[in-house]
Amino acid sequence: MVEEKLRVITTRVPQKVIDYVEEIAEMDSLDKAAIYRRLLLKAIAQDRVERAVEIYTRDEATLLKAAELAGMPASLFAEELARRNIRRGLGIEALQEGVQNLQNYLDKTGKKTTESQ
Amino acid sequence: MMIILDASILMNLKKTDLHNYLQIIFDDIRISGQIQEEVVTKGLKYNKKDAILTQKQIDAEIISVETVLEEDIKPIEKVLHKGEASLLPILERVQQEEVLIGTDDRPFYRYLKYVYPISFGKSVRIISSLDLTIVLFQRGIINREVATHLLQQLEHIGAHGPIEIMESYHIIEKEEE
Repeated sequence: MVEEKLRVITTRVPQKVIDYVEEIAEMDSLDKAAIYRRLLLKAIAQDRVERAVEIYTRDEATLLKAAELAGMPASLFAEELARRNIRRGLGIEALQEGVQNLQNYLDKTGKKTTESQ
Repeated sequence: MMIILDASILMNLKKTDLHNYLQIIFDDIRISGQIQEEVVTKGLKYNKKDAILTQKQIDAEIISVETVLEEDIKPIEKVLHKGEASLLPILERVQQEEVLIGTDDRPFYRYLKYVYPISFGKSVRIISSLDLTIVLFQRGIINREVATHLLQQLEHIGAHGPIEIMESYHIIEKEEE
């Protein structure tokens, strides 16, 4: 497997970030650069999910598209939405129309729809 | 008649007991016991050649909208995943009355309902898991207890609808104030 080429960035961070990374580096016996990379990648992954959820909630992407933006499988993204109590279901009018569409389909295929119980 | 189940509804059918009832509703379409991993996988793995369906295949096949038809995908609304976009050329080839699309995805529904007719000059008919539950109940295939169980399962995965819809179809009784 070819290792991804790493590039250098320089940025200023608050002292508390430096203190935290030094603490973790010591605990995990890793160099500080590795810890910065790990935290940065984790934060990016989280940010992708947050943004995808936001976009999905605004109906600006379908479930599949939003899952792709989040960088995760659609089923896991759907679970993430459920965890956040974000409803994916359709509205009343859409559902009523769907029921009618299905009834028409069943009638066409020779199945009689009975009245509700 | 062509039934297209998109990934969002396939996923929900698999996660709930609804998959047990599909044969009853769609017994004229080859679906028996098929909402399993391999069907979704088959959809995902369709290549360009497979994805161009003949009319005979349309009568028999359930396809996933994740069918990828790279060369047929046109620049469209960025709201869609390329797999969903690949459905559009297939829809273009069939008559409106020949297709029923199953989706539990609100943004995809909105695209199909409001954008697609403007772009393609014809409308499509859409159903959802909740519609399936309601019709199963209406037809007396399932009783209220089973319908309520299915609704709870759909609620658990976030695919339920507003409570009023269940009340309007008498699956649950309206609470007196």
